[in-house]
Amino acid sequence: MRFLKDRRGVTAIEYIVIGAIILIVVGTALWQLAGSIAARFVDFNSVL
Amino acid sequence: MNVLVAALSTGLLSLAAWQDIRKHVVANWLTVPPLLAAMVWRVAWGDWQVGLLLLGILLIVEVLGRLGMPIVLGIGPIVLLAGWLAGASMTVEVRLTLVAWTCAWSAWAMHLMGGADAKVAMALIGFFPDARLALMLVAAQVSWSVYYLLRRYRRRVLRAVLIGMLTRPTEDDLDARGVPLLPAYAAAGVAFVWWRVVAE
Repeated sequence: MRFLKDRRGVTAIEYIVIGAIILIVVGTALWQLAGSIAARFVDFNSVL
Repeated sequence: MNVLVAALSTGLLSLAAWQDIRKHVVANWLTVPPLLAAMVWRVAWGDWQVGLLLLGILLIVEVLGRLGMPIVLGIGPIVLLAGWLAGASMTVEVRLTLVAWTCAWSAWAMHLMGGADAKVAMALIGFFPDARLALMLVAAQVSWSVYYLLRRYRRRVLRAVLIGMLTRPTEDDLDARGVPLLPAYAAAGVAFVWWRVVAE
């Protein structure tokens, strides 16, 4: 019940910005990785 | 979307934001019933995974609290539970809800976010499991945070963020240095519901 009872409406804003930076970095890396894997599959398909 | 639902959402979000700005706390009647209602609503529509995740969250907080252990230890099991439930779900809406709820609750468990902020974010995504709303919430909270950071630290923003990367806030840090975030969530939520009303 501790979670439901917590009435605090404050947030540590420094960590929101850090989280956003991490999200952008990880998201970009995954996007690039997905693109490169998809390209490999296309190459592999054309070889077959 | 129904105009009545949009109007009710606007009223509740505005009131919560107003309380947050004035007192940095939000009455539980504004956050708990919407969260539980969102859970019941989703379970009634067959999204039992959402109900099970909230049950797991409440249970792990209770057990760790009774054992006198830090709540942050519950993040691992909750992430595993959410991952398993996501694997068992077929719809994007359920997966989005599971990810958003796990993130919001984990932020609370790590003392990055107050309970009211986490519950409002969870209720919004629970009722409106839409990736565009999730993006709007993230964009609103990042913009709000950057604005507050620049106002508070001015030229020392980078230093503050770097220190933040190396430390983890305690409950006292959150109480002393945290800023109200609900106005940003309320703005994003209100913009989303009325946009849906107009679009439909």
